[in-house]
Amino acid sequence: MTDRPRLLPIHASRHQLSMAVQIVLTTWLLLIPLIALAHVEGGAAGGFLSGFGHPISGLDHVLAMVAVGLWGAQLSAPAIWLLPVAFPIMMAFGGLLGLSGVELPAVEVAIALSAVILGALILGAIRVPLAAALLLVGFFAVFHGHAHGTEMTAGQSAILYSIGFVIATGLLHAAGIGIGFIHRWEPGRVALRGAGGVVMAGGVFFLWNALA
Amino acid sequence: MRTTAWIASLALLAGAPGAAHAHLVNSGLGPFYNGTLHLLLSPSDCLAVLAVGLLAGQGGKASARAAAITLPLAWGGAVLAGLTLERAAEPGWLEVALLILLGVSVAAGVRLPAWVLAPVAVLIGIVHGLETAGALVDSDGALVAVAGIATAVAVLTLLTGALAVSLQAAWTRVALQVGGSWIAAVEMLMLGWILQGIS
Repeated sequence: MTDRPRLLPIHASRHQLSMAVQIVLTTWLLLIPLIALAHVEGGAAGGFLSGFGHPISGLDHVLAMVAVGLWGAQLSAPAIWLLPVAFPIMMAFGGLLGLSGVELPAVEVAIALSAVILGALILGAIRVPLAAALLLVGFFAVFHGHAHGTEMTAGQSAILYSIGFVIATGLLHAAGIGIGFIHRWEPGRVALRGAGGVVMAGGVFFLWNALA
Repeated sequence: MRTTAWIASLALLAGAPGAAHAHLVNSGLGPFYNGTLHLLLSPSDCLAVLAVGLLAGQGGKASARAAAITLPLAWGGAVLAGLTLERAAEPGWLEVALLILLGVSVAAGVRLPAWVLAPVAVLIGIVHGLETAGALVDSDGALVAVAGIATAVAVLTLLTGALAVSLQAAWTRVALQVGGSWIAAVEMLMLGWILQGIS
């Protein structure tokens, strides 16, 4: 009987096994969207996915929410955690206003402006008092919530839509904070300001479209 | 391990297949587990337990212990009362408003002593228990199902409270507050949906 080649050597180290598990998981995760998008999701799963997808489906929202995390990281503690705590509550307040029928003026312009202003603050590494940072982020969060928090498809679970919406927003902030950790190193500080420039440029593009 | 537990909790919450069910889910394991499963598959109920557990844990060991006793007792008692009176409450603004308040309290890092937290837990238990009673009407073995619901509430409150109490590192306390802000945000959106007649 000939020895067949093993997938992993029997003496594989824990590190090698861990790598193998990571590769399998990554491959599996990569395949998920192909399966999920084969059919239209309905009911509860549709509610969660619809809510989760809303904040990440618009680049203007993504830019602003990641920028909140980036700016928080640049301002460091306590802003790094206060901004992501304040943003979801104010965003949901905006959603509540929208669902209550309260109209806000120039919502799309405000959303684009949020990316422009936050991007500019990161680009210039501008430090403002904590209260001012909270007010600014909270103000823009209201418009983001008003625009996206109310767009649930009929027949879906409202609570799962809301959970998905809030989790996606929080993860975008976390992504911004994660990227913002490069602020700890000198070259990272320059790169972070560069990222602010990218956010600002994106915001200008969306502002142009909103005003056109 | 804690990170894994958080991810597992989020996945459970995300995968829960619906809001409050009009009837008990059939687990195939009898009324006790039907009751347990009913709670675990109701995101609004899970959020309520999570909010009370986090706030209790933030207040310290005494508060966490008080919540683990008062919340399931009030919840189970309210279900029984709802069944006896044959009246069940619909999810309403009071339930949502209470959870917004709890979420904001967690986000603000409020530390409630046990004697303040216990009445809050009782109130949450009564409001949610009356709503849960609607699912048990015409169910076989309703009393056993109530025991299952109360047990699930007790275990979840205990685990959440213990987790919150055990958090020592600064960033984990921050994660707790972020969790509170997420609960408040979800419930604030729910308030809007209720105002629109959707829940």
